[in-house]
Amino acid sequence: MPNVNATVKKISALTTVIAFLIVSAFYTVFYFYPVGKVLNYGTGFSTVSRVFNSSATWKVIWFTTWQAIVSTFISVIVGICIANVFTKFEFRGKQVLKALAIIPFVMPTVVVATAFISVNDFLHLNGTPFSLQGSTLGIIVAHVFFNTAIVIRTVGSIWPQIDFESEMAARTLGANSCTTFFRVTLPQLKTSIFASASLAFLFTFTSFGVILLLGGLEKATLETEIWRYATQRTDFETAATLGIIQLVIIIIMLAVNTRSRSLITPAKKSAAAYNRSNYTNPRLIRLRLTSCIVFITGFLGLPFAILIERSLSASNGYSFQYYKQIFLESSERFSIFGTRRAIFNSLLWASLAMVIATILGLLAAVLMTHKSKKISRSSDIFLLLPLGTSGVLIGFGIIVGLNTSILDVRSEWWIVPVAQSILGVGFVSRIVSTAITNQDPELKQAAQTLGAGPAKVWWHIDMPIVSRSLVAGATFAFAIAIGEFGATAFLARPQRPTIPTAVFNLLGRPGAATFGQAMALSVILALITATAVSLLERTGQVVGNEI
Amino acid sequence: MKLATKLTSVMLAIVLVPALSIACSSSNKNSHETKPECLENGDSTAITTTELDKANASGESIDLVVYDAFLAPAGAFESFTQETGIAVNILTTADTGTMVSQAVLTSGNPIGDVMFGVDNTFLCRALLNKVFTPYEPSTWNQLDNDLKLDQFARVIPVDYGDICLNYWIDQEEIQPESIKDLTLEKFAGTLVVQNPETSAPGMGFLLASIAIFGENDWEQFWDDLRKNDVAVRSGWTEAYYEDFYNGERKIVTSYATSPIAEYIFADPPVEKPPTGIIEDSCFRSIEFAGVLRGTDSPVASAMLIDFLTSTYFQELIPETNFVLPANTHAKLPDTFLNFLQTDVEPVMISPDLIERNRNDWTERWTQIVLR
Repeated sequence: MPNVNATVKKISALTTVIAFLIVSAFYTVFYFYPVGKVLNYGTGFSTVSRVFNSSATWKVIWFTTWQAIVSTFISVIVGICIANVFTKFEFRGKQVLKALAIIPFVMPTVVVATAFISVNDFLHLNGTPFSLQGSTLGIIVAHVFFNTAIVIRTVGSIWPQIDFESEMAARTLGANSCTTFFRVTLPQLKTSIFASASLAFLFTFTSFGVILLLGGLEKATLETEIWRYATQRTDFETAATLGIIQLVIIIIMLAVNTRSRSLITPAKKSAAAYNRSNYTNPRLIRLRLTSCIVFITGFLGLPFAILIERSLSASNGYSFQYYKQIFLESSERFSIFGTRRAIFNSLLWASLAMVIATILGLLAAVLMTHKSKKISRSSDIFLLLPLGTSGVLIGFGIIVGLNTSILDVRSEWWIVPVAQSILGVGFVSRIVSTAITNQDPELKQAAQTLGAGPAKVWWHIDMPIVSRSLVAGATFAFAIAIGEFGATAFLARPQRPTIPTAVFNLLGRPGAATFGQAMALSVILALITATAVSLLERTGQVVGNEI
Repeated sequence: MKLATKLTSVMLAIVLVPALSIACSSSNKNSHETKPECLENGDSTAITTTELDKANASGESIDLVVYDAFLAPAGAFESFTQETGIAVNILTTADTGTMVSQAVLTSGNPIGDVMFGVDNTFLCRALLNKVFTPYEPSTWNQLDNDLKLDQFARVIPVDYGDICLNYWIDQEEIQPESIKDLTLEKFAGTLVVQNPETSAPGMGFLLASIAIFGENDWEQFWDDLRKNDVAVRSGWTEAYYEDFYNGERKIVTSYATSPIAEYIFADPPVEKPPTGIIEDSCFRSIEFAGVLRGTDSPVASAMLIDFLTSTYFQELIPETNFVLPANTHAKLPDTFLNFLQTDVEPVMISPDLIERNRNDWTERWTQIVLR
């Protein structure tokens, strides 16, 4: 049927053109133009020389880098240990524990920061050397909390696929378990460790909520300095220059990440069924298992438990007092504390951001999986960049860029979900395109051989794969949008708070009531995110390794 | 490594191409080098109101943007609403600096209609960025002429006060009499101040020290203070209530009116204020209100400015916010008449000079005191 084929070709060419036009228009207006405007602000000769001559700048760059390196390093070590236990042992409750270990990864930064603030409050750590507030320790602990999950996810998904026979051979030939790990296992995991480490570095390098809430005034990173210079000092040039420094470092990191990703080739499944328990001392197994379980429940679970405890602990014993105050909203005139409105706004905007991210992500995936290598490769890189740009830079760019007489969007409410969706588009397109590329081509060929037309093939084979990954991507985009803080801090007006901005404002005010409300609001945000993610888990998609 | 380099250059090209095209098209860049002449030209047209406009404004709702420490006198805005039919929504933001920055970022497309609380230290920053629309209120002639820093009425003075060092009056111990005493050894470990970067009184005291010791010697003064174990807090509340109030520190940067507040709120009641001020340590702070440029409700906003400077409102603010009214017709409450120290001679620095040097001064202060 040559006629049908020609029509299909025409349709697919048209789809490509439309997808290209929409995606590039969106990114040009809401990403490249604003970021370009920031570059324009920050490249004045006098500003650049002043910023680079200031010792304060180098201090900030140094602190940003070293806390990111230390956080990443600890996350990788801890993550490998846990991934090892998950790979090698079968035990009751493993699935639950696995799900629990992933949760911190998708939790909004504001929730994680308030969780550690509540730990600080609960254990009376303020003033002690172990204080988690206003200290580097607090920042690193919170970052490890986040990023361990990335390592577990990425390394943990590769580990079961590596060649266990060589491991066993090494052991048979007399190598001890240590030598086997470093000489045989580690080299096979190297690329996945590298990929997750560079991702963790990226996240800790551009971390905003954690630094702002746990670091206080003294601990400044590039991200919080951009925000401070722009919103407190009204010094846009310096803010922009710092933004450029950050962007350049991120671009280098992304290039490294892309390179290591391209080196990960899906390993063939090991043919030999792996005998899990025969060759190690059972007591050692129990020790490793117990320490792993204690770590996951203790380190990853306890902050959430204490956060809930603090949100319920009122002056007269435990009660839902703070939750009631959130929904009552008695101080209607002080809309900055409009907590009920913040919940409504967050839900609505995150849903809108999800819709935008899903539609644009799907269109972007069409480009990324295009038959022509030129189109797929260039759109891949094109879409990677916004993924690595910090929220603060996007928010700053929009507010200084999109204020022209033709297009002034600063007071439009919809700019918030649009900004929140920019990150989401990158994730959705990546998840969907990976799903499409990884599908078995033989399945399609078989269907065609058996006489199914192109439409039928698409409906029965492509569609289910795409829709499943689309659901996963959409949920993920929702979770990102609802927790987004950097861009939202710039764009959400005080009349229209979101949950993260409301929590931040509440914590900035002294008093037991505002503290309790901040904790309660964080719990609500955590619950919304956890619900969204459990939906994601149900669709059976693994997110970590597509990023 | 080849691939990585290639990718990097491709990405840089993606970012730089649109950036350069913007750079070539626009030429009006804000520059640090130009001298701020913020008080010398007012270029936008002023709001004028007629009785008919005012009647039509009834039913509108406007947002009053204030800094976080502002307390609305009970019932004041309700009575404005009753009188005019205009509803007022109070938008509490953050400290004054952050509030002004937000106004600059949203200049022309503002977050509210009227802003209250811009002080003389941030005045030029707001005016240079054309945050306000001029409006001369009906009360203009009643306002203290010394406080009208902007003759174009883009901002209107609402209140003023002096930022001074406060100390606990204690008969047995030696009292500080001058700002110069603070570097003496006997006052080691007694002073707590605020970070000028984040706190208006902190900035006020830094400016006072610069005016008193001069451009050449103020850094030495702070160096000596640091050697004398000065404590620094980020805001007034922390310094006053966590260090000064419990007596841990005997001297704090606060306001000339703080002793009156201590008298009013003393429990059990006292005969006279338990704290005093160091008279030669004061900086004059003036707070202004203005109509934000780009408002949808210029007339209603103008009416709110009239209200904020009216004798009714002006007589309410002293005892809620512990400031002095800008309207010379407003009567001071008895407590102020009895206990306000009137022999203070506060220093002033022109808003122009502050705007030009602010970042440099705070940066130098940070290096001396915090690093």
